[in-house]
Parts: sequence; structure tokens; C-alpha cells
Amino acid sequence: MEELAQMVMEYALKLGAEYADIRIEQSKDEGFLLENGNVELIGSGSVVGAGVRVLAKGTWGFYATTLLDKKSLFDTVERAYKMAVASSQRVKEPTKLAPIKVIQDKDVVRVKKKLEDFPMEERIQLAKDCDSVMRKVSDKIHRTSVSISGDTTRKLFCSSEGTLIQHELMKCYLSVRAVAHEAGVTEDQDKLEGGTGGFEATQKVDPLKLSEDLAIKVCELVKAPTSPSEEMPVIMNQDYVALLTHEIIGHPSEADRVLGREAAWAGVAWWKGMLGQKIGSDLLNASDDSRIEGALGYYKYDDEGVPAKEKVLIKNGVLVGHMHSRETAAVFGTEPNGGMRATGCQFAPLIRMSNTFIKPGDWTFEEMIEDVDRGIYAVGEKVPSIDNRRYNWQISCKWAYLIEKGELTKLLRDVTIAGTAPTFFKSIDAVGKDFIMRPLPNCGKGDPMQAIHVGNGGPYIRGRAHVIGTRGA
Amino acid sequence: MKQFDVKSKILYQAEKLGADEAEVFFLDKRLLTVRIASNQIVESKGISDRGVGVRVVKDKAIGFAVTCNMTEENIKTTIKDAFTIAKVRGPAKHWKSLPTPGKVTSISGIFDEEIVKMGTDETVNLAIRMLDAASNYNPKIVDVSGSLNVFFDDVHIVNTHGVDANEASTTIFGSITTEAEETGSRSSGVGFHGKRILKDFAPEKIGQESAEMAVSTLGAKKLEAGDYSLILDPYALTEIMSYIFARSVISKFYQDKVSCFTGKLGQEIADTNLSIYDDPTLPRHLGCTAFDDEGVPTRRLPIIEKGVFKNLLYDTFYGSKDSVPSTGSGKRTELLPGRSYRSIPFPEPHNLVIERGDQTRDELIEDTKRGILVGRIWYTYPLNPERGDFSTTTRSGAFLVKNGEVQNPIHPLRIFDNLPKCFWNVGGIANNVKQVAPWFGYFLVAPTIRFDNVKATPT
Repeated sequence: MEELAQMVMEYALKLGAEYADIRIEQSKDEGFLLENGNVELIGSGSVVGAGVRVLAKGTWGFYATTLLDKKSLFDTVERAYKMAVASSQRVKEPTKLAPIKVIQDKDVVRVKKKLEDFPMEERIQLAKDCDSVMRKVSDKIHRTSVSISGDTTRKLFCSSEGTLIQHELMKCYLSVRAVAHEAGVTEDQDKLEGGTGGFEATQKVDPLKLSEDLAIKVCELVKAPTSPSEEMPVIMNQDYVALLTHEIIGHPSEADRVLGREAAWAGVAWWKGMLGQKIGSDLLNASDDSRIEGALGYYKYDDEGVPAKEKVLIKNGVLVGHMHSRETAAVFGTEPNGGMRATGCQFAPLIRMSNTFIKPGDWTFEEMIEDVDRGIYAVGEKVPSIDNRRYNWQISCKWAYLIEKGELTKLLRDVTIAGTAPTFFKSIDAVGKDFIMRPLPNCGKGDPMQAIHVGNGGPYIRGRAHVIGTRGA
Repeated sequence: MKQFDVKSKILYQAEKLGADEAEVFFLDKRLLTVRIASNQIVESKGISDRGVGVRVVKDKAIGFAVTCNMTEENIKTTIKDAFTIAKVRGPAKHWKSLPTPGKVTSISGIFDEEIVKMGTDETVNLAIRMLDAASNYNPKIVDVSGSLNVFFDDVHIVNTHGVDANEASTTIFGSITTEAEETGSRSSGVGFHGKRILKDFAPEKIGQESAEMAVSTLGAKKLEAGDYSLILDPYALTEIMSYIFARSVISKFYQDKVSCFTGKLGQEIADTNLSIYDDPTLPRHLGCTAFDDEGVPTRRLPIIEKGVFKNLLYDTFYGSKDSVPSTGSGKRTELLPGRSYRSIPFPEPHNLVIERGDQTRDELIEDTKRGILVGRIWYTYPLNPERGDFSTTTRSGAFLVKNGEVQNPIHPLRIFDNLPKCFWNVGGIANNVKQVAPWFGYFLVAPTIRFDNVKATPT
């Protein structure tokens, strides 16, 4: 296949392409959903295909096919070339690519427990055990679901510059959900574990303990009151920080957004033109790094064949960098940092987060709580609502506790935290030392929409924000 | 003919291997997308995708497997995979049967050979017309972005009960987002237009509509938090209908008791002026099809009629759980627009229709004391789906309405409210209808609607 890919690239150059690349993929996924103890859905799929990207006359053309014979691939590159040429008639600023080194390499993700060594029957039994643990907690639990899935991808990347990279990637996930109902009140909570690697990626926390804890919590929550609505100190746990980081640091750090290229759907970035400026407290440090083994956004080379490296986004409260493609790196006059990915070979790559996180500090959780007279401790991520510049944000949490005189006093439900990005960043006065990376399997961007796997994480952080009790609007 | 042979062969092999029932979903699909950003065409993309989804049923155990590699050997493996999955899964006790043949009435105006024949240049030229119409509308327009999507698919569904349904269809839709700027003020606008027939498609309309909204909302002022009448134009309604309403009437979620209308089938759940249908039978409309992705004939399905909750959306699987027939709502979708052979059927709307009222949009506004008029919302999420609480933010085309008159444009507002409450508080339905679609959601034919007493706060 390598030889054929190289022939296709040579053909692209012969047609007149300034640059071309091809991703040939073979992926297999399988998973199931157990609901209330019964297998509701089960599926497996295998997809093969190739996506060819061509830069010609200063614009991109892309075409994908599911047919991998020589004739189909040559047709595909011709189509991609024609699409680029057709688009070029109105180019104002021709696309340039920042240079990269030619690489020939193979990256195989380390897998301890292969999915195929853990037969579907055993996976279903594990799900049934999780289900049974949740139901045993209380008869208030009226719905449960457990899903376990995994996918394997073999990908060959070949560019007209001579880069040739083979990837072998496996990802596994386990998700549990419990719904409790009492006296007209319903609480619905879920938790996902997983990442890159084999079945071990789902076992970072004991699945049975995860299930039991979740069921206990939803039963407590049906009786919990909602929060007061006021501005106050907020301590956020790592799961909440993961989504916050995703929404208000990760997305606006995508250089295509910064340049306005995603204005139609995903939006833009409020900090456009502010590189080098202070946008948060000295304690705020954030990066994106795809090289974190086991995290859901792991990769060694992106979908342009650029080696991954740490992308420092915010350093001591100063905005210092963005996530780049080769194209945006050329616009910003910087080095490409490996931020381009596509959901599959049928899609053209975009600038995406990999594993984006707030870096840990040196506070313990106890120290953070200790000097809060009245505040909120927000646990878990729920629903985000963010403006198109990522300036105003609000994210509801799974549950929260009231903090009074340095102690957690009352469990609260239906709590939403809201703020503006710069005001909140500047208010951060404590950053914890306990760091966690979380999996987020469905980050949406692009047109047509692509949903991609990312990791997001951080430590406990403390700042000030508006707390809104949202029950029964 | 060759394709038909492959499908018959799959059914034959599945039965030979012991299937009680089997189904083949064959799809040939092509999609072209032209993306506009920063006032220029930045990318043109395409995909040709062809594949088959095979469903087998043995002793009520259902298995499904797909392949895009149509070699004989690979197809055999796919059938075997479907059997393996059925075995692991075990019987679905409620399962009745795959669909039996029904009377399929073809929908006129959903296929246009001109769209199939469209080359890359013609497609890009249409996108340029969208772009130019926005850029040239007014010098205050500083940024134009958006996309044009053109696709056609050819689907063929056969099953062992004799279902044999074939349909070719074409779709073309585009959207433009513009930003306008003048001293100290920036605003945005959106335009959307989609058709099935090339000569019905008006690319300039998309750019002009978007630019007009952006320019007219320059100089926005901040609005105080409070309860307002919320007047949503069709494009603003799409997110609420796709992300909040639709899931509440899908049988699966209703059965799971996570619909905000749980237990209310047959009861009044909305103002008597509100009627909502899923209507896949409208000629020349987006989303319309003669049969669903299981081969069940579609029909105009009342969901809410004069305020009464009439029907849920069922496919065969979820229908059999309630011992009712499919409503022709089984859809196989994926991230790319159009049908997908990779997915199993799931009940979803084809083309939601909100019945128009009898007053004009102007009369609806004149009738409003203290309201906000909105052209586009975004980041619409269900906060508590079982209660119908949702959160959204206004993005474009927002104005204050006072004593029946449209006043100044307003800055973004965050809206926290509740769907059942909004449906009870329908203050008026206009008679202007338009077909629209959000970024990733369902097609909607809707007029401008006013919901009274909605909570809004500045962002």
C-alpha cells in the first residue's frame, strides 16, 4: 500500500499540485449498550477508505473514497486536484505551508489487554455486573445503562514531500449511567472512563466501584436542594475543569478559529491579536500535548505528518501560543506544532485539540477549601453554553457542595457556574496539585461536522464566578 | 442490475445460514462541500461512499454488520459478523418482525439529474454567488463565511418479507454567516436556503439575507435581565426543535421516561394553536422521502395537533416494544449529511413542520408588548431533558420589541427556560414559513413564533 500511496502522490504533483497528502485507513469498531440489564444495541463496523488532500493554485481540494484500488485512488486524486483548482479562482491570500522535516516512522500504541482477548461475552458480563451493582443501591434507581466499546485504526499517511508514517491506534471506553426518581424528581448522571490503549484504558477506576458510587450519588441528589444564585468563590474539581478547559481555553486556542476561518459554525476567539498579553492570573498555565500516553487525544504525528509536541497556550497568565496547522503556522510565522486531525479518512483534517489541560499548581484540596467563608465546590461537568467568541461561558455541574466557613456543608443539584473568560482567569487564586486527564469522545467542529476524541484535564482550581441555581426554570 | 444481484445474494446467503429474517440496506452516496471563510473560498471537499448494511434476525436475536468492500468474500464475512452479533446479543423478546411491504408513494421533486451532473466548477461558482451577494450587500460587511453542500444518494432496501424499495434523491443547501462592523460595534447575521432541484436554489438569497441581518443589528445595546416575549424566526427555532423538542417525541426516549412529555400521550401539552408534524411527503422539500431507512412508507405524521400530543416517532424495533407499527421514522444517519449504511435504524424526524398561523409576522410583532426578536440562537442544550429545561444563547439578529415596535438591536442574551412551559405560552404564530436546518440537526419548516414569559439575562 505504501508504494501505491507514493504513486498517487507522484501523480498529484504531475497534475500540478503544489503539495498533496493521502491518508489510507482501515478501522474497526465494536460496542454495545446494556440498558436495565438487557443488551439494547450491539454493533460492529469496519471501514476502509482513503482521503486525498491537494494544494493547488493556493487552495485546498479534498476527496475521499472507500475504494482502494489503483484506478479509484488515481480518480480520487484527480477529483481533489480539480476541486482545488475550481476553488482557486477567487483566492485572495494563497495558502502557504510552513516547512517541516520529512519523516518515515511507525507509531504503534502500547496495548496491555487487547480488546479481542476480552471476548464480547465477557464484556457484556462486566456490564451486567456494573448494572446489578447500581440497582442494588436503591429501588429509587429506575434506569441504568452501561456501554463498552472500542476501536482499532490502522492508518498510513503519505505526503508528496516524502513523509511516510504508519499509525496503529486502539481506544477503549466504558460508560455507566444511573437515573433515580423520587417524589416527582428525576436525577440522571453518567461517567465515562477510557482512553488510548487496550481494555486497560477502561479500568483506571474499578468499574464496579464507579457504578456503585454513581448510583449512590444520584439517590442522594434527588433529595438535594438547588444552590443560591450569587457571585462567590468557586472551587472546581478536575472533571469540571476538564470541560471548562475544553470550552474556554482549548477552542479559542485553535488558530483557524483565531483567524476567523471557523466563524460560520464553531465561532471565533475573543483573544485574537492578544498573543503576549496578560489574560489571567499568574497561576494560570495551560498547554495541549498529544503525546500523553493513555489519554484519549494521544498521537505521535498529526494528520499532516507533523511531529507532536507540547503546545504552550498560557504561561503564568500570559497568552503565549495557539494550536496550529502548517497553514496557520505560516500565517503566524511560527513552527507547526501538530494540531491537525480528521475524524476519519472521509474528512479533511482541521485544527483540533489533542489533550488540553490546565497545569497543576501546589495547593492541596483541603488548603483550597480552608479559607473559603462561603462558596461552592463544583463537581463534574454537565452542559456547556458558550458564546461564539468563547468570552461568556456557563457550564452546569453534575452536583455541587456549599462551602461554609471552610467546610463542605450541603449537597446541591442543578447548579450552573457562569462568567466571562478574562474576569474568571484573573480571579484564579489557587491551583491544586492533584492532576487528572479525562476522556471527551465527541468534540464537534467542521463542516460537515466532525466529532473527535480528545483528552482534557487539570487540577482543582479556585476562582470567582456567578453561581446559578437552575432548577425548574 | 448488478447491485440488485448482490442484495438478493446476501438475502439468500443469510437465509441459508439460518436467518429467520434478513435485510440489506445498500447505499451509493456522493457529497460535495465548498467552504467559505475570511471572504474567500478556502476549501472544496468531496466524498464518494458506497456500502451495505446487513441485518439478520434469528430466534428474535438481531445482528447488524456493515462493509464498504463489496468483494464476495468480504460480504460473506459481513453476513457471518451479523450472525455472531445476533448470537452474543441474545433475543429481544419484544421483537415482532422486519417490515412487510407497504404502499410506497413516490415524492415528486426530490431528484434532479442536473445536481447529479454538477461538476466541481459549477458547485464552486454557486458558492461564489453566495459569497458575493453577502460581500457586495454593504461596505460594512467585513467577514463572510459559510458553506455549500451538494449531495445525492441512491438507496435500495430489500428484506426477506418482500420489501424492495429504491429511491434516488438530491439535495443542495447553503448557509452564510456574515459579520458587519462600524465604529465601536460588530454584529453578525445568518442566511440559509436549501432545495432538492437546482433551478429552485437561489444562492444570492443566502448571502443577502445574512448580510441584511448583520447590518441591521449594528449598534446593539445591552438589555436588562427579565421576562420577555421571545419571538423566534424560523432559523432560531431550528436548534430548539432539533436539540430540545425532537428527542422528547422519539419513542426510545419516551419509553425511557426521559422525555419532558412522558406519560402525556393523548393529552394536551401545548397551546391549542400549536400543531407540529413530521412531514416527509412535501414535494421538493429537504428531508422528504417516500420510505424510511427500513423501507416503511412515510406519511404526514401529526405529533402535536391543536395542542394535543398525538404520536411518537417509531421505527420497527422501538415500535415492537410498544406493540405498535413503525411510523416510517426509522433513520440511519451519521455525521455526513444524508443516509448512512453504517448505522442501524433509529426513530428520528425527517422534516418537522410547525403549522403556520393566520397573522403576518408584522402583526405578531405589533401584538407584542415587551419582547425580544431573534434570528439565530446557538449552544442550545437540554439541561434536564426529563423536565424540558434548556439553555441557549442568542447569536444574531436580536432586537428589542416594545409596544408593538421593533426597537434597537440588542447584545447576546442567555436564555434559561423550559420547553413544556414555552409550548403552553405560545403567544402567536405567524404565517411566514421557511425551511431551515441547523449545523447538525433536523430539517424544519416553520413560521415565526412567539413564546411569552421567557427568562433572559445578558451574557
